[in-house]
Amino acid sequence: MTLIEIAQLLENSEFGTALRESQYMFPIVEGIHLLGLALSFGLIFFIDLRLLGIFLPEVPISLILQQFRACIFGGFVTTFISGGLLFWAEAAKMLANSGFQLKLLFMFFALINALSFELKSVRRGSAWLDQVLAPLDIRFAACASLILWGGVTIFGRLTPYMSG
Amino acid sequence: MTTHTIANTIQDSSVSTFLRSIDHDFIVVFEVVHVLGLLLLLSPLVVINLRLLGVGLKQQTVAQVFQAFYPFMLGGLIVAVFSGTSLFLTFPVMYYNNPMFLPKIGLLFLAVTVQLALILTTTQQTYPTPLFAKSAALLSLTLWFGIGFAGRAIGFV
Repeated sequence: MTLIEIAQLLENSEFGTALRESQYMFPIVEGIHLLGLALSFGLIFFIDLRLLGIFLPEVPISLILQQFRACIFGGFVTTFISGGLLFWAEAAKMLANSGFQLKLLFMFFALINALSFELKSVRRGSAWLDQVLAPLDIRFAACASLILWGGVTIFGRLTPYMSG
Repeated sequence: MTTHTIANTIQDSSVSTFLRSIDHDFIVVFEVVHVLGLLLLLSPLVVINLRLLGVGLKQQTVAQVFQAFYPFMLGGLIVAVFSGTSLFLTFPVMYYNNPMFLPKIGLLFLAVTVQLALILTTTQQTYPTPLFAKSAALLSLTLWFGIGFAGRAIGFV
């Protein structure tokens, strides 16, 4: 079974069809997907600015990370679950959409970047993180994060305007 | 002059006609900028209001958190309003006729007014009354996220 056939099955499933044709549920899930970004990408944006030393340089980064970890995680769970539901309803159409394909590509690299940051911060401890200016590789990761999550958001919004 | 006539007059104005003459692909850029502006507005609001609720950045005072985040919030609002106005001007009559559009704008004016009043009362105090600060935070989050929801609904009704 090819990927597109699986997507077709998802889209044609009872749940997928019901969600797609629902007058209220589909827009509500769309709304949740958008607003979840304020907690996920929105908070990551400020963490990245802090890592770059542009924002709140006097506040230790480990403190910011620790205090917002639950919110950011909650935001990402909200965004991913609502996004997953939206995909379920239009899976085949989405897979064929070049905007959505680019969004997935950006998301893949954004997640790898985030995972590598997590692993590094666990390995090196909080002392190195709490410098006013983070090490070069971390600043590079922060730039990458801004570009990648920005790309995910931009191509996400462009998806409905891309026909193929 | 009814509001509907006003919408029609705006539609026929030179600004509106000019925006419609632009390539549709370019108008889509406003949609993207509008969402990015909204996020830049909402995230600082979340941080400031969480602080009022006693969550996050607890070592900083409410006033310090507000000082650090409000320029982004203001920037986000300006970007969202500018891109939103441009979108509205492309098809004023269509937006005016959308059942979610006027509620959204009404909510926006309400949110700006309420937010200004709340900022003046809560964030200027180093230790606002906990109950007042928490109610203010919940009211603010409800209003602004409500605008985001209403805005998203415009595309579906």
